[in-house]
Amino acid sequence: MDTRRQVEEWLQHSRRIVEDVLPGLLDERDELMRRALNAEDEVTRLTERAATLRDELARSKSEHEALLRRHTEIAESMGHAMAQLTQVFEPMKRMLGEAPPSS
Amino acid sequence: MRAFCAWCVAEGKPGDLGEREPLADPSETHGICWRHRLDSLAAVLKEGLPDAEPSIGFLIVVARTRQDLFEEVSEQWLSVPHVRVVLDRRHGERRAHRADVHGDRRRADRRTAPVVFDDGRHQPVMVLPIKRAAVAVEEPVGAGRGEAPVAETAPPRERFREWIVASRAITQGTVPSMLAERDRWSARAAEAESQLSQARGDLEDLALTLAGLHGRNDRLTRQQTEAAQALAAALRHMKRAMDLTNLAQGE
Ligand SMILES: [Zn+2]
Repeated sequence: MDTRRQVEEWLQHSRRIVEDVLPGLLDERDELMRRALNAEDEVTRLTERAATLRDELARSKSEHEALLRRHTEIAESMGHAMAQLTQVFEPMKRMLGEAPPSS
Repeated sequence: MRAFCAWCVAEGKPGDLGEREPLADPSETHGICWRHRLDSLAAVLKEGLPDAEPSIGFLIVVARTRQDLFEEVSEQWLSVPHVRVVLDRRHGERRAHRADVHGDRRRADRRTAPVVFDDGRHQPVMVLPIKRAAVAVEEPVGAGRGEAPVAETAPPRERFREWIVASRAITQGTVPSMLAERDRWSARAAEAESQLSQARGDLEDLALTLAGLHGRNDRLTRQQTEAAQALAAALRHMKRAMDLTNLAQGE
């Protein structure tokens, strides 16, 4: 291969590197930078959202415990009420049993 | 006023830097000779440039009349990154003026550029800080646009040497650092995207747990309301029954 052709081929090769490869590399870097920064922003946003949800979860849990305590209290009250109701109905039952035939 | 290189004097050498203004003043002043200046540049580079200043480099400019020094200094600094050795294409007054301009700028920039060299007005070699563009051509700080350090009229050998050094800086410095930067961003993107998918999963789990708890709380509240209503109804019935019982007992 003569010198001139050798230089020309090398020049073409170098031109492809300079005109395609290097700008492509820079574009690729920009795209990766954009992706990284977007993802980092989104992670920050989701982490804040998760913190809010965790607060809400803590509130809901204590609400749940309060509801369970009230549930027990209501069950006890119902028990008392039933007992009282039985006490009330007992004399009524007796009275109805002792009642003389209506005719 | 006569100037001496303080470093040479400390080493017991004459270190005469010649006359300085005011010429009538017979006293002595001190400066640094170009050889010691190059020594201190080598020391600074050995320490490593601060990470915050990756774009800073140095241009060693040799007087055109000292081709011998240019050969010597080029040889010494050929493979040192961040440093280029060039022949000054300016002559006489223009060179002195240029040296002044750079001297003033460097004094003005002393706070931001800790490595400061004298203007070298009386010396055949001077060191200039330069800013290196992101990709490519190194340009002396404040130099006019398109002013290549080596004139287009320079002999081919000199232009080739200049071009080889510049190309070496690109192929061995700029391009690898571009690739490394691309790789750093790639790793950072991958890391951030994996964190993102993790965060999305966590958020989904949290939302599910929360929805389940809300449902259980709603059911409990409803049951309790119904129980309270039933209890109230039972109490009403109880009261009526008691009234009836009392009535019957009264008869
Ligand atoms: Zn000296």
